[in-house]
Amino acid sequence: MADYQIRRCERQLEGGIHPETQKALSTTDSCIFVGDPKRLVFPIHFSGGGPGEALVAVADIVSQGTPIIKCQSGITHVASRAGKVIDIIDHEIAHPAATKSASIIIEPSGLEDQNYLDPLVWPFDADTLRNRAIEAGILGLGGAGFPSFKKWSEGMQTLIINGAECQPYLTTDDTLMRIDTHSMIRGASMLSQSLDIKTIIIGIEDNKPEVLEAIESALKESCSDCFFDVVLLDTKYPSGSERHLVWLTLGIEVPTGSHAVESGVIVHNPGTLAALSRAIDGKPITDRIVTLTGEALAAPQNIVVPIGAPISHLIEATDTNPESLTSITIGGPMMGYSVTNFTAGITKTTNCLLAREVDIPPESPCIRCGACATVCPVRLQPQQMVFALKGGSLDRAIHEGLTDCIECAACNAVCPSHIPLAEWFRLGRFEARDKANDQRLAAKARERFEARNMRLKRISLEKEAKRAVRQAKTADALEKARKARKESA
Amino acid sequence: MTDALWTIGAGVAGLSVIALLGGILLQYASKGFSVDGNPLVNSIDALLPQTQCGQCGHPGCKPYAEAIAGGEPINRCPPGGQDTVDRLASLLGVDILPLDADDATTEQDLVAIIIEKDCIGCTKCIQACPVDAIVGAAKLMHTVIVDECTGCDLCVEPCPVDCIDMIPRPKSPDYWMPTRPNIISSDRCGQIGIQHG
Amino acid sequence: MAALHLLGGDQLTDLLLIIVSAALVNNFVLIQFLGLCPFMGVSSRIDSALGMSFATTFVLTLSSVVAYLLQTLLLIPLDAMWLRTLAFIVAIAVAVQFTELALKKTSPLLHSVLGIYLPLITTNCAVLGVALLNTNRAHTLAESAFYGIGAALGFSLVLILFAGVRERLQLADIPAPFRGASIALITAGFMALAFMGFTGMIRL
Repeated sequence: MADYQIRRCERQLEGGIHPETQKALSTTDSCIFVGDPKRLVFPIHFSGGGPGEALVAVADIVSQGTPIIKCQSGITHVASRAGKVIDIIDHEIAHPAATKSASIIIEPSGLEDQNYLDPLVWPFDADTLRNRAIEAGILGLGGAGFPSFKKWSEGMQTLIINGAECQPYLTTDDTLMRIDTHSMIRGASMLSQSLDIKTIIIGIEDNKPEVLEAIESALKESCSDCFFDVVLLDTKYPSGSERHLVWLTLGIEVPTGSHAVESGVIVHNPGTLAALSRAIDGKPITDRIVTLTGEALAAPQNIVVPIGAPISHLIEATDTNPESLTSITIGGPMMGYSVTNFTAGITKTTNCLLAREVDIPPESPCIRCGACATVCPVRLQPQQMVFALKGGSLDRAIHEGLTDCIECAACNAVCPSHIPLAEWFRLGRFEARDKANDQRLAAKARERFEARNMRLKRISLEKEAKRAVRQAKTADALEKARKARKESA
Repeated sequence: MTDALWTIGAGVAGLSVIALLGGILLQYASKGFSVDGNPLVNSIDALLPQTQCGQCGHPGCKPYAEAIAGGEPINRCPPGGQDTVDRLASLLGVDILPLDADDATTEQDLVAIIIEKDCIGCTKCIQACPVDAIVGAAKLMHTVIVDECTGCDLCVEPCPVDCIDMIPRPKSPDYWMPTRPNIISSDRCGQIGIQHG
Repeated sequence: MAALHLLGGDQLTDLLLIIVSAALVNNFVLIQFLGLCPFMGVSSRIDSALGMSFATTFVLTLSSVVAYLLQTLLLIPLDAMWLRTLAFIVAIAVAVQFTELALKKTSPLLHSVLGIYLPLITTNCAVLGVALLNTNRAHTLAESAFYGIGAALGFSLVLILFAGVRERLQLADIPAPFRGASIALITAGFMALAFMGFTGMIRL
């Protein structure tokens, strides 16, 4: 039995909202596997982990687990089912960029042809684990898709399992923590032990009593050396935001401009750790749990689907005709984005498909009510930032704290004028990123220009000096010759 | 009569004394507070885009910064665009001027690319590049280091075989930009500041 | 010389009252309408408004003291009060020139931000106005200095407030016919209305 405690979080989230959670809609006791789709779509550059390159060619036969994409960050994505690469073309992708992008299309053969990695045998060091995470394509399954191994630096004190799942409608993590508790705890323990972390915190919102039960019984059976600190959080959005969770559970305020890792804390989604546990046994990420929910679906539920399965395939799994829907939201009602083309394949970061009819009233002018500032969990003044952004002053928006915005969209939810504040902030943050990049390039160009000028000056000075020496020599020789002539005369 | 003359004389003398004293004070002050060079140049240089393209008529951004500090108009930097003009105007407290350039040159972020099979290795472009962004040696093929290229197009002209093209700066394949939310109830036609998206 | 009082107890109250009266009740810009050109000209950014405020504060205080000394030490003994305006202008010009030189050395950015506005302070009617009002009201040296400070504080206050408003106006969605100077003048009008609220605040 592992050493553990269960406690209520004594801290309160400042700001935040209490949206209707709607979680009962998709909560089921079990989680079914759906059949393989006719084709799987793997976007080469948008699968998570940065731009990538294809490792397979058209007509290649792949096994389940064959690496097919290698990303710039090193992360490898594997084929989620055995089959044949039928095409590599520009295909619709499930991404807010809403464009077509180069994708690998695989036709599953239905064969049990597996090409897994060798299981790791404990004890192994952190480097071995990092390599395994790269090979198995482990990245943040909560939605951000950050390559997990990059968080595993030395000197970390705490691992937090982010089971808050504060967004309405989503039950992905809830389901995973109930049916796959052992994998999650095993993954967390292995990671902590290889990184020499002693404390593992599990943060869950208090609307998940079944999860708490499952965790408690799993911990009783576990033989981990780590200390488990299960923290029950008040149900409030966005308590699952990384920096807020760190503050709620540990009381550490992650400074602006830095990440939790720089404060010695690793935060992982439960799914990521469960996937890591399987990766240690040799199985790369080929499937994930996706919440299919929303009032427009006939049978909302959680299902396990192969990565790359088209959205339409998932919708069909809920006894719903995809043609009856015009658009679907990927990633939950708060942080999600809408997708209209259902041929796009899901990626590792697709945690939820939400189908519902929302009637968004037209935007009205800001009435300066300040409701957005009240709910902003980062204590920003969203109305000021959106005023600056609409007026075209990015500098002013940054001055107001734009770069600290976590895009949680709590402001959107309460705005009586229905202003799409979070969309503006996202745009502004992207522009701020581009601007910082331009400035970096300009600084580099300035440096090189000055270095070149200095070099040119030095060369011309050297030439000048050489010429002076030459002239002196010539003058000398002339003088000698003249003298010699005189003497001979 | 004498009284009036006396009064006028006293007045003129008094004013002269005041002016003289003021003059002496200012003379000393100007000696004590003399400054060399213009420290503004660096702040101006920081706002310029550092393409070193010379389109302003100066050999690089720093020389143009010096010229601005010396009173030259602030609208001669096409790569910087209207945005840079606005920032300079704001720094220097002068009026915003319209950018002095053809519209076409300000549109895109370009980089040079050498058509390598046509390159004869004359090194002329290497000498022209203000930021040393072209590598190569005599009679060997040259190529552009894309990350270092500022898109100034100074290398295009010297090339004797016309093998340098300007192309849009390649973006990372996963680059994307969110769409701009619609502005409502406005007759704003993008007249100030940064243009979005 | 008798006018050179030392600071006494009840005189301190008088001096504070002078400051409040010059800064708020009889605000130079919004109530007396003096110094309007820098008010409109240097108020587009808070930074430059701050710089202008510092420069004006310095010049106003300095010139009111200089003007007072000039009057008591030179003009009254010589019985040349009719030279007052001319003499004051010379004194103010010297003070401004001195400020400009000092600023160029100490804060080049501020110097360039103020640009043409610094020499403009020379012809800033508020500066001459303070000097003349001082003599009209037979202020003592301390009173003159405090009247100058009060005027400068009032000027700085409205200038910075106005610059803040204008910075926001730049971002705001203003109907086309009102953009630029028109909305600025309307705003200034509202501010003047607001400052009228200080009338009657001080009863002597």
